[in-house]
Amino acid sequence: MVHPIVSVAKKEILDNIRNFWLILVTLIFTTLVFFASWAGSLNQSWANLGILISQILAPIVHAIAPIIGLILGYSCVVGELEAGSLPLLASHAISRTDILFGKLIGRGFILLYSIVFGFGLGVFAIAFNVPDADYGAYGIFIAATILLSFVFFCLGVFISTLFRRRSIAMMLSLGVWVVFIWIWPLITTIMIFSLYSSFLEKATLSFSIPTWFYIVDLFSPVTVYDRLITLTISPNLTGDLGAIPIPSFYSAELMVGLLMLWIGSVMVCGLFRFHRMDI
Amino acid sequence: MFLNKHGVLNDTIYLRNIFMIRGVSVNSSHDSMITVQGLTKEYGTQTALDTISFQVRKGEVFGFLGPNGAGKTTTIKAILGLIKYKQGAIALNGLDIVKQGKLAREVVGYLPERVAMYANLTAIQNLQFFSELKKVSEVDFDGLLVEYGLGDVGKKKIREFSKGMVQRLGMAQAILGSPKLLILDEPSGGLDPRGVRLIREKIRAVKKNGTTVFLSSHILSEVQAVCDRIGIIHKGRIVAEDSVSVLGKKLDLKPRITVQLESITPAIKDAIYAIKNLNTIEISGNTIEVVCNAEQKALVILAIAHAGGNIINLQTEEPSLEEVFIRYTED
Ligand SMILES: Nc1ncnc2c1ncn2[C@@H]1O[C@H](COP(=O)(O)OP(=O)(O)OP(=O)(O)O)[C@@H](O)[C@H]1O
Ligand SMILES: [Mg+2]
Repeated sequence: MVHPIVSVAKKEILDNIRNFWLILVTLIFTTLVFFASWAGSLNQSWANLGILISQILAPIVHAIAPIIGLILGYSCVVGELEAGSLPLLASHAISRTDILFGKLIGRGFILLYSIVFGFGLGVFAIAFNVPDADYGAYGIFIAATILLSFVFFCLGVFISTLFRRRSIAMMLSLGVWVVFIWIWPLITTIMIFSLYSSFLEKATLSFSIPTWFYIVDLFSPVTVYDRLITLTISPNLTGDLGAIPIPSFYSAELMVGLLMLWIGSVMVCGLFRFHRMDI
Repeated sequence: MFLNKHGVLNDTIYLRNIFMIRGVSVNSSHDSMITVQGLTKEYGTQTALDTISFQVRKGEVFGFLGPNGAGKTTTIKAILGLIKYKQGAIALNGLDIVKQGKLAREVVGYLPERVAMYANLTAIQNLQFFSELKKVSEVDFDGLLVEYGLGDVGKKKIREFSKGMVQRLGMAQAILGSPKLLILDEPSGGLDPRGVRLIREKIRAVKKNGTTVFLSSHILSEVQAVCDRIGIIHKGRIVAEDSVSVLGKKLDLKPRITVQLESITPAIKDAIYAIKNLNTIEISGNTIEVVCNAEQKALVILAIAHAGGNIINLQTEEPSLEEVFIRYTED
């Protein structure tokens, strides 16, 4: 007998595989890799895949990957609630945990598929444009992107258990994206500037950033993703985050752990909410 | 004999199963399919269900009636464990719906009030999905669709279905796998006359197989035709629970007779008014309407004939479910 989780996962895939936005974003990924590697091949300094990824691809992908995660997540529960099929589904011999895990697995598979497919096609563009490409780095880049998109996917799923109206869940998801992509970097930049100017006033010779800033900076999963890329793909490249040096406690393991922590804790929140929902 | 939490005497000989569900002792006798006890549900400040208690016995067709917004759908959702409540307890097939919901729901087939299916999936894909959840295999989906008047739309996506078509598919889904308990929330909603008849026939058919049916409906003729017992909910409270005839007797409802005459003379009027204890007498044109008990019926006819009246037509109406409903849901 098929476990209900498997049934729900299969149904989710069938029901969402033709999602227009997903197909669009997948194509954007491929196009992006193609143009970036092609443009890079014109300029010799970009011919290095590490530079291509960390300087060109990652800053764009770190904004797009959260979008597909959120698109697949925000409608997960509230979409079916509003469409009206959730009461019928939940009236069967199935637990709420089964339902949510089935949905997470089904939609998670689509997410995985979109990223792997989109970037997988990109391999051809790289092979064509970048000489002596290090495909290991590209693999790490894809894996990191998957992690980042899953953080936002789980955030979206949590948001989808908070409201009874799909449109409101969508607006909040958009808000979450704006906060992590625009607002948070703005806040940290302002922090850096005010730190720097206070140093200038004191006329201290060397400017060093306090440790707490490095901790606060890691609040955003997008920042964590950027640091992960810097640490793994281009460590010998700059050795710093632009003007800001990398502190010694930053490591790839820490970044991966933080992303996993986001995924796990947000998933637990979603499960907690879903169990207490009237459907 | 046992006293339950509300001090009500439960003297049924079937009583076997008294168990505590979150502080409420539930008497779920082994012939009980659904036991609801002291259930209260609040939406914000509004009390949708106010300490309701009732039982649905195994094998019976239970009609659940009440005005719009009375709390029927809310009750059904609570029985299925779809909504959370602070007070009360529900046993479904002898199991606590909150703690053992997954197991308890194994016996259920459910047709929701606003049934919806997966819009991007075809009718057959939807049925396949639900049959997997119900753990029934080797279903003849095409045959099933033909049975429900959906023979040529099996490969159509649900987004292209009309409301009535979805309703039919919903009914096919609910009965799939011959559940022990069928919960129908306004199954005739949006159906054409053939569809309404199909539902009635299906209810009769599953009843023959011993299936318990919980039927919420506004079509009283349908309820009267198929239900063994009814429960009436009004403003979140159960105001009646029994068979239609017993409820009619409790209300002291009497048959109404309508006599049409060639002409009505003063002598006939006098003869009618002379009969003692008639409830209502309405005389208009050539028609006399009288509400009386069964024994007085003959007396009325005799009096008219004796006074020289020429009877053209005679009609007797038994107390109807409609009257029972109206009387119990008066403010
Ligand atoms: N999700 C909800 N949020 C707030 N109030 C609700 C909700 N669902 C139902 N109610 C309220 O609970 C009460 C009972 O509603 P319910 O749907 O159970 O009525 P009903 O008897 O099924 O009516 P109908 O015959 O129209 O289907 C109504 O007053 C309704 O406004
Ligand atoms: Mg209703």
